[in-house]
Amino acid sequence: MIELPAPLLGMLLLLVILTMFPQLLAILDRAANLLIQNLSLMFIPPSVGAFFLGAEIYRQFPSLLATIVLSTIAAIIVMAVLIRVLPDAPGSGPE
Amino acid sequence: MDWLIDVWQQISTSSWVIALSVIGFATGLWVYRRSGGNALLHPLLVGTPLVAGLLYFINMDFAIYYAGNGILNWLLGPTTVALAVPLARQMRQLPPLMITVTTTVLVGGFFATVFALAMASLFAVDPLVVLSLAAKSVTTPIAVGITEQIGGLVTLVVMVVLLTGIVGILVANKIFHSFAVRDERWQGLILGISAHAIGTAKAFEQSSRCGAFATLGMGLNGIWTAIFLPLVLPFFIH
Repeated sequence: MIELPAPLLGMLLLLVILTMFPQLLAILDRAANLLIQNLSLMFIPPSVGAFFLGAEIYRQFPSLLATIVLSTIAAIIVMAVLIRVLPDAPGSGPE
Repeated sequence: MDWLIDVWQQISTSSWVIALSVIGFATGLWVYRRSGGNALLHPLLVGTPLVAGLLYFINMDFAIYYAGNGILNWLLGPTTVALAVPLARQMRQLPPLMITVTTTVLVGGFFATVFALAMASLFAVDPLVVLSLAAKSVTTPIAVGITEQIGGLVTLVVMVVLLTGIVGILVANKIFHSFAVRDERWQGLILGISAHAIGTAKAFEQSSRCGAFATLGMGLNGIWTAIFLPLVLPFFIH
């Protein structure tokens, strides 16, 4: 059994409700946008924690950075190739 | 009712140190806007070292600062739920392009995570660090939830997600050019899957259509990663 994080379950539930009752979107728009636009503020406390992790983790920083850079590039290349080979996705369509 | 008591405790331990977070955020946002939206000057990259510096300066323990920000941490939950609103708005784009969108999300989201796990294992990174970068391609509020679930460091994953987003938007255009991905719908989708909210913001700069597909890619990949990650983790963490 997969355990999804509770906030994600909440998001899925709201998504189902909003798909069934799209008229609710107009009511929730302002409150949702206020929260989403200020997301970066909520990430300040945990990201400050990145400066207090201890020497053990900082020693691994070069490997960590290499992993992030290489895996992100690799993933984008895989998707770019995929888009080109999928039948109903004319990647070179005039846009 | 235990959860309600937990919530109340988290909110009620909030204190004046929230002001430090607000100062860091406001300064970061100001610098970012003055720079005209340069990704390397993202509000978090500017604001975070500033707050860390202030904590050193006033000699405050990180644990005290973190606990004092209880309400900000708590708000992350409702904000994750709120992501359903922009996602629901874009779901109508889905039916005619169902196969392409779902295949790209399923394959792309899977490889974004598995590449990271494989490379981290290859570079012999500590298991705790591997757990903390597993959710790197997912939008931060969902990544925090996933990381808590699998036992990684929330304080590390936020930075990892941020760096992933910045790398993503720095390299994406060159890759789109090399592989002739010219349709902005697919550019947006790929940006949202690989570079989450930072990629989505970049996609909206290009056009609202590009941004709409980025929102779709980001939201669907968040759900998908939360589902498959616990299943693939045992192959990389022994």
